[in-house]
Amino acid sequence: MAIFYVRSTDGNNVDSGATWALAKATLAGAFSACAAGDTVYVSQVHAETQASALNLGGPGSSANPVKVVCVNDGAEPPTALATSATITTTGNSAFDIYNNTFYYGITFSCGSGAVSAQTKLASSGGNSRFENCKFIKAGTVGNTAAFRLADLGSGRLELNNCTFKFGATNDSLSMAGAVVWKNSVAVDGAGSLPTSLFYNASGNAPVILDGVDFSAMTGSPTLWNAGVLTAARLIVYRNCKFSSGTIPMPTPNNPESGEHFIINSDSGATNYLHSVVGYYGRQDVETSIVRTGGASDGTTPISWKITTTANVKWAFPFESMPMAIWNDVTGANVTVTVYGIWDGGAVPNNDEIWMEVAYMGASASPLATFNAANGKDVLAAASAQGSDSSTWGGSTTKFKMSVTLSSPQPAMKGPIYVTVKAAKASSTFYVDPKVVLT
Amino acid sequence: MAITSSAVSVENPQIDGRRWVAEAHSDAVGVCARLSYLGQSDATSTAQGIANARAALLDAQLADAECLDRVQIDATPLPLRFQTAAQFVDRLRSFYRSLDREDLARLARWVTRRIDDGTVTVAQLRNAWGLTVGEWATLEAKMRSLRAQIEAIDAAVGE
Repeated sequence: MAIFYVRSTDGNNVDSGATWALAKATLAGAFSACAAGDTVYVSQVHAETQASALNLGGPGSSANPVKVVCVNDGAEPPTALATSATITTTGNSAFDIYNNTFYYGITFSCGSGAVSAQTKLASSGGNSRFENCKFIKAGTVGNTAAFRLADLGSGRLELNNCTFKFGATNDSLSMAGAVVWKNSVAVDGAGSLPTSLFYNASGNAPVILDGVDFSAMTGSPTLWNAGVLTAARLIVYRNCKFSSGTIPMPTPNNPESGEHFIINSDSGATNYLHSVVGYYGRQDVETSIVRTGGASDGTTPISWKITTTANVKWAFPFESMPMAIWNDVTGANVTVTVYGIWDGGAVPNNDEIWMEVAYMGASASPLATFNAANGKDVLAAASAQGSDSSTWGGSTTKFKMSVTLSSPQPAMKGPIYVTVKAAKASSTFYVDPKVVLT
Repeated sequence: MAITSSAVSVENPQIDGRRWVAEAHSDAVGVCARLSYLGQSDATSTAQGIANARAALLDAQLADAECLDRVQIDATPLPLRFQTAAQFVDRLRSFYRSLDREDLARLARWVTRRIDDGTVTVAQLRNAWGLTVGEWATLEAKMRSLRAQIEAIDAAVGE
């Protein structure tokens, strides 16, 4: 695997790139000489500028990706990483960066002046990974796809400690393929703050946002464009930071949009929030209307507040996150109970809210056995769930959902998963996620 | 077309004093956007103002989304909910300018098929693009070339 050196201050693309003294002048110049698996070291003083569109598709392959690494050029081979190299296009000149390449420590700045020039990351080819990089859209004309992250034909795009800077308030990040963005400050507050950070493209690959700080987006922002969650897609926020009043995920307007998860992410000092947002409703953590003796992390008691939209039907209910509880009993009946409360005036029927239990009913494999007997089947008439006398911190009508796992009985120890399903339109239920086994 | 009412529901205070706030924005057809967030303890007095300020932003977002959604389907985009036909064509132009490669070819196919099925006239498009007759003829020829290429790709089969 060969090494190439790039330094704009004294490099020349007719040189071999084999040493700092013979450095290439541009990254594209190095790409034209290197092969899959090679490493390109970019000097910390490198500042490359091009007044036309710049396509950076290295020769990497999935088996042998190319590595492009900003380093201190005081040693050869280098011994210290750096993060100060820049690659810039000017005017209405786009960036396209793709094809099985790992980038470290480079700032990519796209366009200048009153333009909307776009940067594409992982637009084709295999996986692309960027670490400690920064992406600037310098043009001042808005573009809902100012940065297009991972196209349909590409592999996974991973951004680790990467930040975006925008040139217009109606700029956005547009996504089509799979994106993992982690360990990052999302937006450079010195630039324009987009009114919506994410603008869904037509793809349906997952987007994982893990440990990303969105708090530079202020003013009760809506991080995803409210109307564009049209494609089936899984979006997960995990351990992210928001500004106060942030809406991480509007309720999708399309049933194909899927359900999206916001896990332990907040503007405040909490460690218990988690939400599901989908076309049929949402589930949030409630800390006031909670069941005495119910779920708690030892400090904060919680319940799950399930709010359905007008779109739910028995055939297409809102589904909660799974509740998990360890089961040690095998070869005997186990009764599973989940407690709830709502203000519907009477105990809800089993076509309005019910639960489905998944457990290990076979001893030969962990294949799940599903028991949905707590709900009504497609032919049966609805019947009321059980009444209950638990103490809750609010709402009015208590109920419980129970089912006995008897045929088959649990055959292996392990987790039992309970999914609550709600199909009463425009209703609010509170359920205690502490499953009770008897 | 535009959001005409923004209803706000502020829930009971949580253990840290904040309150869940639910916004439901409606146009003449019905609810078109639902959003929820954990508001500050003073959310009861501030939430309506936040929702009202958000409504104008949502109008533009929903119109953008509608345009993006309609061009995925090979049929007339009418009737439209969040914009006029003229506004739709303006957005179409904006999308067209921002695309490239297969995405551009697919939008070129959509536009030329709408010309061919009479949904939109050349004059309407030419005006939206701000082009002369000759400039439009050049652009339309490029669109039809892209359409032919993407149709050939879509029709391709293996051995």
